Amino acid sequence: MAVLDGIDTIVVLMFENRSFDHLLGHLSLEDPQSEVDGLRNPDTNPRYANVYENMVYRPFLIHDEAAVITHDPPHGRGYVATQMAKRGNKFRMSGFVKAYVEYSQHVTSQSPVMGYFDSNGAWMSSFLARNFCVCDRWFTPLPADTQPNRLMAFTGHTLIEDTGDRLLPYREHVFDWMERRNIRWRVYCDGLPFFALFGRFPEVIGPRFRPVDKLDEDMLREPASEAPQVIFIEPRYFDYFWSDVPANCNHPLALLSNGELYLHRIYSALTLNPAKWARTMFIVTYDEHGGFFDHVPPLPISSPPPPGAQYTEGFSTTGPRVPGLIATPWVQPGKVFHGHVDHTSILQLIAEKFGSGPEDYSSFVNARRHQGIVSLAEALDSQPAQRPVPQRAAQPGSPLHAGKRPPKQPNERAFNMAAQELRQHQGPAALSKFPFLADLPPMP
Amino acid sequence: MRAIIPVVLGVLLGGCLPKARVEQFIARPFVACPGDPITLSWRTNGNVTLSAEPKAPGLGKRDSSGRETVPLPEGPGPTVFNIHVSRFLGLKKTETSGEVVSPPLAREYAVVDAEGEADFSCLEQERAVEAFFVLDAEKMAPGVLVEQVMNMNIRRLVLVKDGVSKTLEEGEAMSLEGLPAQGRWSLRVPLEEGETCEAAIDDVDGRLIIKLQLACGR
Repeated sequence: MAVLDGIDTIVVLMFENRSFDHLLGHLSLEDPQSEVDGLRNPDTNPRYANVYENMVYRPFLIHDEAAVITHDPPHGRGYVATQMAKRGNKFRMSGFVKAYVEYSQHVTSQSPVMGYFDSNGAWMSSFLARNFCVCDRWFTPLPADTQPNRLMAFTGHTLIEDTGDRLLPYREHVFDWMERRNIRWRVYCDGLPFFALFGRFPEVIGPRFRPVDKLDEDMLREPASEAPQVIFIEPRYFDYFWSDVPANCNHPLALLSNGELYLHRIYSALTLNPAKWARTMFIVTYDEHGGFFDHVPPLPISSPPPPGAQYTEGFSTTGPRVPGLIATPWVQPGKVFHGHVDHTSILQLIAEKFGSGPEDYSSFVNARRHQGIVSLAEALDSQPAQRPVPQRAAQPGSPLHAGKRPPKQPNERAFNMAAQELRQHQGPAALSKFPFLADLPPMP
Repeated sequence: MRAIIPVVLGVLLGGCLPKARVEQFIARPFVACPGDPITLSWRTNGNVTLSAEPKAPGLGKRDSSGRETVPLPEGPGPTVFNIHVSRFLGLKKTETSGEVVSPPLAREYAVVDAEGEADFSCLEQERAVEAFFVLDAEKMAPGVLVEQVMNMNIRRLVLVKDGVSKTLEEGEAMSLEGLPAQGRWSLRVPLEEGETCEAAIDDVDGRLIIKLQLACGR
């Protein structure tokens, strides 16, 4: 595709656990002329109404996130089925509150999972959406939680159906695919990267994994001919539970304000060098919806268990929508892309840019493509927008955070396990690169 | 330094111990009038402390599982019943809450066409789609009355409650003159000429919604 000739660098930032309506639904609420399929008349429109014990729960604006979101909403496979509320081949998307109450036993008139942010709360995401491109049909590949969906994002398939306290079983990583093609790639991380859970420890302490503090400098000084062609940006994860610093990955109970500030920081770094920015495609998305409401039914995409899978019941749909943003000069400001995409659309894009085409990644990714999932390249325009780089002043983050705490959730224990193994296998090199490993508590 | 030691100990020891859990905590009925009995039932794996805001008499420390009834306190706004569970000298703890609201208030009620929810019936002869829900003693105190009902659907709705039948146009509100809120609410949507039941259900996004203006009878 000719338009990809204008792109030298693909940058991917995957946050955690927010749905489309929850984060970006305000775009159509604040601008009714917008094409975005977000919130419209949520106080009366039945499609947003959630029902628990016959009581109706409507979306409401979150003013103080720390006071509203006091429990991590459920998002495992069984709970997602409750949330999507199936009848035959229809999905009513009316069970988010029911799943939340069943999981948390927390009953309140304004159920936290029905909360949404406005352009003040989601200030940076909103800014990118208005100035670049928002994808309003970006779904999680699977109606499940973190680990299977991240496996889909970075390998194109999953051998597991849920999140557990384990290192991740997988076949081939996108890193391997890029290695074989001599594509220059790099990871910038703020703390322990999620990629550590893949158990590729020598790689994690190697030169391709750099602290995010180096991003500004690299953008300014590194010659384009040596700069990475694919960059993964890692936030500071909530699962990194022994940290003193607030997480910025947006996983509840991490506050969105810190994730928005991190997004601003990354965007600011990527736009520091106008020549590089002119040929950069910055993709922002979320690994899964985190149990928050969304009104759009999932896509009927079939994913049978691959050989060696640790589950037997395949998936027949995607999960709910998640926010998807594409910031690049190669989209017209305020573009809304309605094409059906999921995390594997990133892999299609990489294959389209660096391989022989969008079908050059894997048979698993192609199976989804043949069911209607398209490459993110489809969102790009054939000509770049001629304008100065849009800028936005930063809003402060929040010093509030969950603090050092014992690991409760399976993914927190998986982080602990990965960190233990990283320290054990790589010794002083690991401690030198990640000094915080010295504070690592023992495995529960 | 002193402040850090408990944190470090908590992380070191706390990670090894089973977490505190609230398996069930229910405060019912969800809608009641001041003085009405509210039944709290809970099932946990630790030491329980119950509290309420505004304060309800007699709450405090309890066994890990139990059930008891307290009167709904007077006061504006909802009453929030809290349960706090603690294990291993507080190294493991969790909490949650259940809310009981009190009239006067307007509240929407609905049936959803989804598995595990209501069954929508297709009435071929009457040319209508029908569903119902029941506000029983777990959901609604007996003294709560309905002053007004509003049709929140984009379709005409025929509503039947306690033998009273009302037809409401889209968005129309109508007085119900103090009918008890408890009981069976039947909602019926007449079909248009040539319309199938499935199309009518899709037209209302699989939900039939009414808004009740509730009052206390005393």
